[in-house]
Amino acid sequence: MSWQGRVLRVNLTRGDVTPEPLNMEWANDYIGERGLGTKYLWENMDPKVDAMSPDNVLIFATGPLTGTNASTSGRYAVLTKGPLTGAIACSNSGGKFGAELKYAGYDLLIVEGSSEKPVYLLIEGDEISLQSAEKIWGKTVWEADEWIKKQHHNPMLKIATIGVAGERGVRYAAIVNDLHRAAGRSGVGAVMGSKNLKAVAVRGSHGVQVKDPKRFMQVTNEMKNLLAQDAGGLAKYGTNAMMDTMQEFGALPTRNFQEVQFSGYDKVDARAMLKTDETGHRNLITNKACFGCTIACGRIAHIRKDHFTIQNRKEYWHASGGLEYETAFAFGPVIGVDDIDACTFAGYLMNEHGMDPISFGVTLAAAMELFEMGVITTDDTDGVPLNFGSAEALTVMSEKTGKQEGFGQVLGLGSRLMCQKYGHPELSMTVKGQEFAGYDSRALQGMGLGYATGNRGACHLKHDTFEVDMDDQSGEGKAEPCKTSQDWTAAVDSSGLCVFTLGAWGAPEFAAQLDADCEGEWTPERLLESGERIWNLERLFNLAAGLTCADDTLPERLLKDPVPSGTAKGRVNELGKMLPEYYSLRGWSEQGEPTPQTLTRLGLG
Amino acid sequence: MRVTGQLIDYFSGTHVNLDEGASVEQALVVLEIPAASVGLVSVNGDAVPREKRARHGLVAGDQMVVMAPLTGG
Repeated sequence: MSWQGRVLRVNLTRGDVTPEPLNMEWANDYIGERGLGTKYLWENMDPKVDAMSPDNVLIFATGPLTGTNASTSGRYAVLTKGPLTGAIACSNSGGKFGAELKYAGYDLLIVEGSSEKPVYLLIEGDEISLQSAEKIWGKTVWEADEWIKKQHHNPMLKIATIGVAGERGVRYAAIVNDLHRAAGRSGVGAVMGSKNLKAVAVRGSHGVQVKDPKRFMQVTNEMKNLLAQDAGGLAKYGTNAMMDTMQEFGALPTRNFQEVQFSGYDKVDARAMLKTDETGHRNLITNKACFGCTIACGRIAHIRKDHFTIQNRKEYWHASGGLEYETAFAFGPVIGVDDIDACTFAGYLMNEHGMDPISFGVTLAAAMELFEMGVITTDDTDGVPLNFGSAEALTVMSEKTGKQEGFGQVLGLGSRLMCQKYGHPELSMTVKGQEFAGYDSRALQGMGLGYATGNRGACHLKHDTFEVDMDDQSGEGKAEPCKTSQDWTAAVDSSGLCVFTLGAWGAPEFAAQLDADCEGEWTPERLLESGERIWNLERLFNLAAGLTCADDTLPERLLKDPVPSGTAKGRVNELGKMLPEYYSLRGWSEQGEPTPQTLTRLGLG
Repeated sequence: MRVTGQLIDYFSGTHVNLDEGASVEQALVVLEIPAASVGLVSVNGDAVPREKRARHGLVAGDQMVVMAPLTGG
């Protein structure tokens, strides 16, 4: 019952908005959020279209648990064809926007076409309109957010918006909501920009109804207690607590994946964020929770006022979103930088201009390697030396890319196109054009398989092989946990809850919450089958878009260059052994295509 | 001795005194770190798989690292 039962279809070409009933048959098969959004995408567009054309469709999707009393229920996802990859893009976010969209009475928002002039969608209670965004086109995320709230005298609006990066087609532009949470990956912000849609601003006036309120309260309270016992220190240390583990393990990508351990890691890790320096400054101010979350892993930080990045820029003398593991990796080890204030500032800029920090950092890492090889020079880079370790290069290029100035326009292409442009595609640390997160897949074999087979390209959040990868550093036995966790994560991503609950909750815990929430019988088996269906539908989208099994691969560096240090010293990724077993377990042909029997079994035939 | 990630609340020093011939598993008991909370242990840079913790003996001067589980980020 926690589906609202309504979809809002926005046609920007015609300039109209039309509510329609939610297809409940699809909701029962695909749950919500990632799964249901994928189904609507599949049914509403041709996967072959250019990602930046008006024919691409952009979907904001909530899950049946979004906005409920369940912990971590602030999630929503954005789905589209991604400009970075040409594959399906599914990028989810926390904050408060997702719950607010649900309270507006909609499960999904489907955006079609392209507006002639810049607009934003305003939903205030039951009033829905497309408003001119000409006064905020060219403005940052933070400026647009403030302007819209003032324009409508409504500080309670929850806003998802793009910055200039999205307007100008940076291939990894993000959609940022609530100032510093983001649907960050795969360039969903660039698609929004191509449609001349600057923002979606929502203030809802409806609640959500669950199937069995008494049981729902009881179950969700039990789940919160479980989470509290197993939050894994996320509130205190945040996700960046992983950095020193990655360092010791020897899987911390360093200097564009040439190395796996970084001597300056302890200057940008969780302990560094908590350390008070000689002036009394501490990077971390506090933690912060998304809507309804009892984990609260978010970081709120600030930068030393005498740091070179903001010394004369008072507009940045405020607290804002701080480093999480992926941002710390992308602005630290992978480009060889150990300046925590520069990393924090670059993080601000990603939120302010609306960009994915992982893709930006790994693209900059490739540019630095090109620079140190002499392939590009300061003549190409606006006079800025792009040496590994340069905090100035990080912050200057973050801003140039966000504003699409000078060499920032090249960095905005992403690593794959940039490396092709300079004749060195082998330096691009990507799968399907999307940059790796902070895990080297020579030390973490299952991670490599998950990266290679990721439907949205390289991604660390669509499978969970961490435990088996730590237990055994060979490629043996990794296909099954990779496949199963991909299916399971697809189900979790479709529920409206956060994957950071997975340390405490398994399939029975998720099923219990959904079963108290939604009509129909929700069992762990049904959830897993739904996840497998979702994964296969994403695969069908990619195959229809023109991707093949040749795209399920890793860069040569990870397949041929032995890892130089750490606990996996000497290993390369064993993808060649793992991939055939994976295809077989999936019920796919040797060409990576679901067999007719698999499609029939999953109701996709 | 070193512990990583969220496990740092268990131990923030550099050295631990153990009985002669103590195993990795016994060292974890001394540190009061629940086995289920450990991602991986390395000794002198080499991984010690979970099933070998009880058999892997330590000698004076060994560098043992107790790594927290990875969770994605």
